[in-house]
Amino acid sequence: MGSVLIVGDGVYLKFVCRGLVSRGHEVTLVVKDEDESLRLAEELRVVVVHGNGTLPDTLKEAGILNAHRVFALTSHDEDNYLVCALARHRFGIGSTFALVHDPENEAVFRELGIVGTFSVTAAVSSLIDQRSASESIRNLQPLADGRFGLTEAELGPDSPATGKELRELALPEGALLVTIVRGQDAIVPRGNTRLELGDRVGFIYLAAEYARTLSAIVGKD
Amino acid sequence: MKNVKFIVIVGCGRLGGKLADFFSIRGDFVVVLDADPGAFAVLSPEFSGFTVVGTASEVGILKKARTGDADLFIAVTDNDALNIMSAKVALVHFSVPRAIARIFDPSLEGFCRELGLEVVSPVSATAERILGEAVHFLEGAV
Amino acid sequence: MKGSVLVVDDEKNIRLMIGKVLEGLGLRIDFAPNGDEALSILSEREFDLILLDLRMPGMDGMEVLRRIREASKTTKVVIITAHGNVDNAVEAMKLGAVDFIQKPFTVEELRHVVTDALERRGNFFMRLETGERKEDEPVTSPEKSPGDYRHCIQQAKAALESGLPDEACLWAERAIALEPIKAEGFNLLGSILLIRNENAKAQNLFRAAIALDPTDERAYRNLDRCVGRSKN
Repeated sequence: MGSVLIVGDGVYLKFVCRGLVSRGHEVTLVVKDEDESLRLAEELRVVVVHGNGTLPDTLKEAGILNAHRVFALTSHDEDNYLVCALARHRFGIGSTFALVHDPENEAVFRELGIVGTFSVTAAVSSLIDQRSASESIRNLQPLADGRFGLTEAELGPDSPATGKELRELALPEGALLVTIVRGQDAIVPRGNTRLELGDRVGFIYLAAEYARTLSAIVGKD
Repeated sequence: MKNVKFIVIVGCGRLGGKLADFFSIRGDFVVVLDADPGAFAVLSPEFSGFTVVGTASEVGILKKARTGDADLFIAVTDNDALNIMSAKVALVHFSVPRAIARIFDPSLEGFCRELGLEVVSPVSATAERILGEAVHFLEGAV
Repeated sequence: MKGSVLVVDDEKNIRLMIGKVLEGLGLRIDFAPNGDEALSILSEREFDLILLDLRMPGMDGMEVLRRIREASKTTKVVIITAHGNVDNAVEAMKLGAVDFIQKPFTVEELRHVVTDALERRGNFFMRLETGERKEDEPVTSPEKSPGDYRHCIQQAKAALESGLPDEACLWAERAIALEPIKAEGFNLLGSILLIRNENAKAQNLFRAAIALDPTDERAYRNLDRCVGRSKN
């Protein structure tokens, strides 16, 4: 918990703010558009500063010197870059985070020293890619900078894992079956837990091994 | 043999257009980038370089403009953040030896220099001065 | 260098740039800003080489190419495409273009393409992701047995270069038979089949190349081309 400075615009802003406030963070918003800044000031219980967050003076005015974290959530990658660059190099803020629209900019931002990025495009694309025809598979969460993933899937009658004990499963490298939801029960599986038809299993996998892990547990589509 | 350089110019406004014409007539290889295809109308009839339509915040567009082959990258759009980011990307990602960015807001000038960019502020410079500096670089470079 | 060139491009700056380079090579040049004017000029005069931009307003570049082919079987055409857009290049090649060049191109690149074309060294197939053949690689080595993998690859590329895709196929297949775990052979055969319009088979070959070597970027790009997505 600590104070977060957000420079942003658009739809996300309101919801991100609320989320942070409910987690106990102190939030200050810097918004470029006057109307938007007034609207947000009325709707949210946070300090809203109307100004250009890519300018050092505006950031100072918004209290960046007391901020623990800076988020750049504008709709322009270049503005988000500049905000984070200023936060890091001019104001010494270690924890910065930028929204990135051009998916190629995720890697580029890292090269420029902005490590915390989120690419909406990449998230949506990977959901589209990984979405299987059967809605029984739900992809949840990238972990460790996207090198691992977490997915939940339902075991069908043809699934290799159905009927086997956890320790009998031939899982690829980096895969770990971590949760089972059976009816109303939530089970943390042990080696001798036998998997049953209809179990919703949650598993971690190495991003590069997604297809093989899915096959080994749930089977092919 | 004359030392021909590869120059990428982002922003085909009055200044960008002037720079593009200047270098093209000099015999350098020029690619001009602008999000608005109509902007290239300012180029002189003698301009013999290439034009690329697109936004400079997209790495793909900079690739399309062959930024990786550039000797000099000049960002002169009217958007400071765009100039700064694209120039920085040119330096770091594309390893362009030299990048110049035009910055309108004086409070960002110092910061940009810290980022390793050469800055030109329209308040304190004229197009001629920029040209002078660029030519100086081109003639002095190995 | 001797020869006559017709430059067909709607952008004045491009015509200017090409003009400067070609003059430097000692060639005779004519210009046309669009397809209609180009065809009109061609109805009166012949040229050794035509540089044709595919993307022009008015008559579509492909259509112009088609008509040029109908009018003359011997005029060489090199097409100008946008950076990253090689799908059109494949189409044009099937219509008889000998080479292509992507914008923005440097003076050096233009010189190479033009001299190669005029000296009858069509390098189209080479540029199409089969990998550049090194200049000092001999085209034929009679003392090498057909059982030599490297030799087969070279022969396949040379056959392609000479416009003999069927023979190139045979050599590539032989290469694969000799070294079935090398992605290179699959990639090469895939490219040849792509040129022969055997899209489905080409896809399988590129997938095989990728399976053998997941780091083979060329195979991914070739596969994308088959599947019809345009990248870059």
